[in-house]
Amino acid sequence: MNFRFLSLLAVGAALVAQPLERAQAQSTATDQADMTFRVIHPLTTQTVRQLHFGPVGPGVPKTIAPGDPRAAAVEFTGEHLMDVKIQFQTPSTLSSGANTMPFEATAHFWATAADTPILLDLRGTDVGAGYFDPAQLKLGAMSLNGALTAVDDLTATLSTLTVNLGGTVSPSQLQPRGAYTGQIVVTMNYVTM
Amino acid sequence: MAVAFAALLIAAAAPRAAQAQSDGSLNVGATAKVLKPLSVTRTGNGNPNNLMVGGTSLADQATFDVMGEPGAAITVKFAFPSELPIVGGGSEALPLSNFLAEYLLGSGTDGNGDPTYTFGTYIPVTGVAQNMTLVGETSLSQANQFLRFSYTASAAVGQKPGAYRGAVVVTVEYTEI
Repeated sequence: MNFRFLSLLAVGAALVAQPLERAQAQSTATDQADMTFRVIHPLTTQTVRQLHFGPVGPGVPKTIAPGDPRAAAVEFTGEHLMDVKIQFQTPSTLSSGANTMPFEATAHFWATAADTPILLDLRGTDVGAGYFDPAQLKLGAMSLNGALTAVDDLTATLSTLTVNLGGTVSPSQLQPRGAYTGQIVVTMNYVTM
Repeated sequence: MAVAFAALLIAAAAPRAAQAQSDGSLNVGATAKVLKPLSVTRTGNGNPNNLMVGGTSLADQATFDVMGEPGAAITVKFAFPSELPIVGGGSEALPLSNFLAEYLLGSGTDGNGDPTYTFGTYIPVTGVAQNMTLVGETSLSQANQFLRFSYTASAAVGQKPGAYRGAVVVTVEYTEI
């Protein structure tokens, strides 16, 4: 009698306990969401060199190519692999007091990692790779070396992009003498903020 | 788990009661309900968010889908960090604020028999483990409880550039109410 009781008890407990263990194993679940922010380096700029045409003669246009040592050079430093936009504001003339002289700018830029110049014509003509409209924004990469891998690129470092500016002045036959100057504004912003 | 334990005790005690009343009979109910598996799954891409140095703030969200037994109560356990440490070591941290937990619960069905939902909010305390009990609606064929955690990161002036990373860990479990 006692043996039967114990046996029944043991079997009953086993039948009940077995499915309950399965239920317990499935009654809790866990997952997590990463919370990741990247505080990026602010863009800094430095004018390395001014555009300097030197002496020009009346009626003789003079061109300084962007790669010429006399071309202007502006360096932008910022977060590696961040997309940036570059905007140029160029004068159509250089001035000497009330006198003006026609001016057209040309530019190219390259990143330090690739050293591959992309020629840009500030009149909006496609000179090199890509499309450029001086009235709009130019999208480019801070570095031309490698793809943007935002998820895993958590050890971002600084990268430098150099913009070289040249141009052409076209003095007339009756161009008054004088020192002609103008100002080119180059602005760079991050675009993937 | 509490349901399972109670059922086991009842099953074991029943033969003893029957033995004491040898000439009578005693019916003892022993029930154990096996619930649908409970799951919580993060949704969203988890991509890092870019912040500029200098007092800029950016809001972000972490979302989860919770599936389980219709009508069953669940407890949601989580803790929001008050700041995210910089990746790679160091003492720098990115402060977080504006925490909000939102959830979507099944609340029945509409006239067409389609599931309906109710929306609720909960403001957790930063850096403290939280328990939030949610109860779904039994009329749904399958409970779908959606969780969304919102927060804001702020980069102070002088914040060190770099990646800051942390996580909100969410655990859900069935709760007896």
